[in-house]
This record gives sequence, structure tokens and C-alpha cells, in this order.
Amino acid sequence: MKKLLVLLLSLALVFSLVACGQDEPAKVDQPAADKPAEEKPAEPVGIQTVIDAPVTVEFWHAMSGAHGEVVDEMVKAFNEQSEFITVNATFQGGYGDLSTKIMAAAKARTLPTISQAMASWMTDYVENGFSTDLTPFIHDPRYGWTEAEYKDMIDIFMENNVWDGKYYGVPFNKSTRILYYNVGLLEAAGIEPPTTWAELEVAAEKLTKDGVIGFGMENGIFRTIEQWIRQAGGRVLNEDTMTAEIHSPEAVEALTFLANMIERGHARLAGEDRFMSGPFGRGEVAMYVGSSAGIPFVRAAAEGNIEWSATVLPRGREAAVIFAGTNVTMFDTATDEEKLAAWEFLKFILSTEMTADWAVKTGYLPVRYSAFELPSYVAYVEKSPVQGVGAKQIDYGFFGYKISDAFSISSEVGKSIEKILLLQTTPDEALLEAEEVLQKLIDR
Amino acid sequence: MIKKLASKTTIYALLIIGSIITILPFAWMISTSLKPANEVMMMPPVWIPSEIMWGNYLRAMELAPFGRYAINSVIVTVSVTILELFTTILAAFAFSKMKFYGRDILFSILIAIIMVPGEVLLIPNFVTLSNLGWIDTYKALIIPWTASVFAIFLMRQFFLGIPDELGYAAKIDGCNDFKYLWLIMVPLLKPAIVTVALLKIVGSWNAFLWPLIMTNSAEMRTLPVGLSAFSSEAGIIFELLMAGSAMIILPIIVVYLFLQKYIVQGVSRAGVKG
Repeated sequence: MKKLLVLLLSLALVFSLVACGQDEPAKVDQPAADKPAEEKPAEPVGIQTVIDAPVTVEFWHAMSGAHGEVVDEMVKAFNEQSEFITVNATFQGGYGDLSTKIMAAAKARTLPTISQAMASWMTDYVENGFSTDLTPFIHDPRYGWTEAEYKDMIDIFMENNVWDGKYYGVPFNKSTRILYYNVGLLEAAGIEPPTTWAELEVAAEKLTKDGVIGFGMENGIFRTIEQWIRQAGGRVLNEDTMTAEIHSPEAVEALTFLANMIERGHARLAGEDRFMSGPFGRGEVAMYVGSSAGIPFVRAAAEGNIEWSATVLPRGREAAVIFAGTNVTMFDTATDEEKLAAWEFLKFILSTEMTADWAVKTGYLPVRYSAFELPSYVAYVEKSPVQGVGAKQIDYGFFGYKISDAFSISSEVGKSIEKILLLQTTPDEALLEAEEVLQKLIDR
Repeated sequence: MIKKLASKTTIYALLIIGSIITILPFAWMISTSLKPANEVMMMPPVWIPSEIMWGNYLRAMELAPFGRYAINSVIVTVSVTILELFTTILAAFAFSKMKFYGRDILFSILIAIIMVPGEVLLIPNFVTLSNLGWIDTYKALIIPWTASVFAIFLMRQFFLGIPDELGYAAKIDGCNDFKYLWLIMVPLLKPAIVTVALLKIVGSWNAFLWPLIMTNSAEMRTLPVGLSAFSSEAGIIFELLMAGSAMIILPIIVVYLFLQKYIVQGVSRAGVKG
């Protein structure tokens, strides 16, 4: 009896292994088969595809609620002005859900035409040949952008889409970190919003009293830490050689700075509140560094409680601020017509007017320099100055690393960093540990 | 007399504390769902909103097509529950009352399946359904859920509690196995069936990841997917999330109220925790 069971179970195991093995060559085959089609246009110059029959573009996104409504508006506007192309946008849950869904669809080869995607996921897609190189579309004489239109795209946003010198996506929703502050508390303490680390330290100390904590930071510490380390002049990772450099004098300096503030009780993390907008809105934290995408949440939490504003991040030895958000990538499983149709849609939503409109309605940043000068955008920033803060930081902004699996890496390495902020260990020790963990994860 | 009174008081006090603990989250949900946004995160907590915001419910309905989602949820939950009960009753009967070669091995293999975490199976299942062409249809939402090993295991325990003599008597009176099952066993096991059904109803009604992954269009989605409209990477709109949750939980509470009697019987008789 028992033997039979063992036999059955081992058979099952073998079958599952065989099933996995079969998947591999299929995955590699796919891009190879599509490659010639891509290179073909090289001879008669430009893309030869013409759209003269109805085409449907599937667009997956993770924009929930009110942001989702804006996506639907844009899609509707595009579909109305387009003769043959219908874009079908569907919400696929949060970023995590969307990523799972894309992986499943990639295995089953039922990918949509285009999808929102983080740069770190795109590394996987590019390596496995799922994503289409958009460079030929961008520079196409007939369908592409003019040189001026191309240059008008914000550089760091475009760079976030480059692998091996080719564009595998275009920027879509971009946010950044800004310094939120409680106007009433700062005025009462007689201080201006801090512009340097030294001023921040003093301000946090002065503002900490009567149950108020001077300075706050969001959870998800790894992302934030990168920003502080860069401000100190260091970096977490050398992306050219793929070596972890998080255990550096600069990083120790940055973490010591933060740990000191926490130790003295002048700073705290969001912790159980999950997002800093809650305690900030209640007036329990006087200043905090958080995502510009959080503006509507701060506004809701603060209404009737406190008067608040926001400004650019204080600088350390250098100015540095992280930008985040997703791109839109195109999948190689689409037909040439679908790809061209999707490109037309992307061009539409990335036009100066549309990206400005998107920014005004959602609070994300426009992806074109020219959008900042558009009267409608200027008027919007005048009315709501906090929304203009992000744009002032573009020149010294940076993006998170494009390494695949960035999410699990950041949560693993974040654990070591957290130990510092929970004051369980010294920055030096924890950063050494973090560097080892990080290197191991990258090498994997 | 006094002793009896004292023990009764203690029992009631404990029960009341227990109920308060259970009810608290629901009360908080209702309270939050009616608050203006700035009162959601107030400290100390605000129980009675300064202004009752019925508009939260309207706004929640606006942000996701809850009407369509509700229809889908009902279709899926009802079909899944009925079909699962059917397969479960047949399988549990076979595994408990019928004697055939390899029965116990087959059952151990089934039990082993419980150990496989659902997350691991998500992508292979997606690929299978996709090859069948079922993605974005009711089939994908219903058919994979029409058999549950846990339900079979649970139901088998109930079946084992019924003495075999009953079966012999039925056979003498001219029942075959099939009739014996449906005419004698099933009516006897009503509480057990209701328990299994309720577990399924709750599970199916609350399922989030499966319907999200297996469907692409809003027309095929279910209520829990609608709730994800209220959270984003930058924050959560708690008052709307709670309004949505309240609307989703209500039907389950109603079902529970109607079936309460059977559930209590089912759980206490079998000595199995739901």
C-alpha cells in the first residue's frame, strides 16, 4: 500500500517537472520568431504597417478609483477621434495583482497589447523577450515623434525605459517625494520649512513638543533610505558592476542622522498608521517626507484639522529625490497592426495637452517639459501650489534600480535597515549586513 | 441558589464581552463608512460622525460597477455552492460508506492535496483555463471550485458518525446505495450540509485574487474586486472602502441569520471547528 503511494507521488513529481521543462523552449522561441518582423522595416525605411481595418488594443492598468476614471476618460477621448482603433482599458487590481496577472498571462500567451508596468518588472519582460522595442516607433518618419517632440519628453522618465540603449516603454504615471509641513506648527515655532539636513534636524527638535513629533517618514524604508544615502553622496548599488555599495561612510552618515532623530524622539515612522497622511492630518507630526501621489489623502485627512503645505526636500551634501511610478510597455505577442494602433494611443496620451490634463486631474507629474508651460497647467499650479513642488525637483531626481525582483530585494534589505531605525543595532553593523544580503540577492 | 445566580452572571458577562469583541469591528466599519474623510483617522477615535455622510455609499457605488459585480457574485456563489454540495455529498458517501479497492489510498492522496498552497497553483491553473478558452467567462469562476477536498473531508466525518446499521436496514427495505444516500442520509445530515454550504458561500463570496486574475473585463468581475478601487499605493480611502465592505457583508449576514440554527447544530454535533 505504502509503496504504491510513494510511487504515485513520485510520478506526480516527475510529471510536474516535465511540464515545467516544456515551458522553457517555448519561452525562448517566441521572441526569436518575431525578430525578423521587427527588423524588416530597416530596408524600406520606417514602419510599413497601415491601419485600414478595425483594431482593438487591450490596455491593462492598476489605476484604481478616481485615477481609473481619468484613464477611462482618456481612452474614451482617443476612441472617439480614432477611425479604426478601439482601446479597451481594464483595471487589474493593485500593482502586485497586475504583476501577477502579467506573469500568468505571459505563461499562457494571452498578454494584452500594452500594460502599465514598473521598470523592475520590465527588466524581466525584456530579458524574456516579452516587451517590444519601441525605438523604431519613436523615431519612425511617418508615425514617430518629431525630434522636438522626442526631446520634449522628460529625460529621467525616458531613461527609466531604456535597456541596452533601446526604449521598451514610455513613462505614464510619475510621482515624487516632497516635504509636507504643518503651516500652523511651523509658524508657532517661528521657523521656515527646512532646506538642508542641518535645518531639518533643528526644526524637528523645535517642533517636537506637546505630543507632536517633529518629523515623519513613510514605511517601506528601503526606498526612502536610498534617497537619504544619495543626499549624503553615496549610493546603494553600482548598477554597472552590480556590486552593493550600501556599506559606505556616506550611508553610515545618513542612517546615523536619521537614527539620532528617532532616538531623541524627534522623528518617527508611519508604522501602524500605514501612511503618514493619517498622523500628519491629525496634527501629530509636524513635517514628513512622502509621495506626491499622497496629496489627495493628506488633503482629506487634514481638512478641518490643520493648515498644511509642501515644499522640495531638504538637501544633504547633494540634492537628490526619488521618482516613482510606472511606464507603459508593449508586448511582443501583439500583431503589427495592434502594435501600431497601441503606439498611436500612447502618442495621444503623451501629447502635451493630454499629459498636462492627466497631471491636473490625478496629481501625477506631466511627462513633457512643455506641459509645465501650458496655461491650463500653470493656472492649476497657481491654484494648488503643492502640486507644483514635484516638478521643481526633476533636475536632481533619480529612479529606483531596474533590477528584477526589486520588490523582494527591497523588503529583504529593508529588514536590516529597519533594525537601525528601531534602534536595535548600530548603522555600521546593520549596513554591513544589508550589503551582504543585497549582494547575495543580486547574484542569485 | 446564590451560587447558581453567580455562575449564571459570570457566563452572561463572558458572553456579553465576547459578543462586544465580535461586533466591534462591524460597528467600526459602519461608523467609518458614514464619516467625513477628515474624521476617519481622528485620535481619539470618533464613533459618531459629526455629519452622517450617506454620500459615501453613493460615491463608492460610483467608483466601481457594484450592481454588475453583485449579479456576478450571486451567480458564481450560488452555482459554486450547489455544484460543490453535489460532488461533496457523492464523494463523502463513497469514501465513508462504500467499500472498494484503493479507497483509503485514494483518500490519503486527496488529503495530501490540501497541503498544496493555492498561490502555487494560480499560474498553472490560469494557463490551463486559458488553453480551454475559459478566461473571462463564468466557467473559469465556477467550474474549478465545484469540488473541494476540505469539504469532502469534513462531510466524510459527518457521514462516519451515522451507524452502518441504518444502511443495512434501508437495504433490507429495498433501497439501493443511491436512494439510501439521497432519501435517508441527506435529510439526516442537513446541519452538516448547511455548514459545508456556508463555508463555501463565505469563501466564494469573499474570493478576490481568483476572480481578478481569471477575468479581464468589468462585466465578469465580482464584488471583492470592486473593493480594490479604494486603495492605491499612496493611501486608502477608508470611508469608501468601509461603505463598500458594508454593502458586501450585508448579504452574508442575512444568509447567516436564516441558517443559524443549522450551523450551530452542525458545528456542535460534529465537534469540528468551522
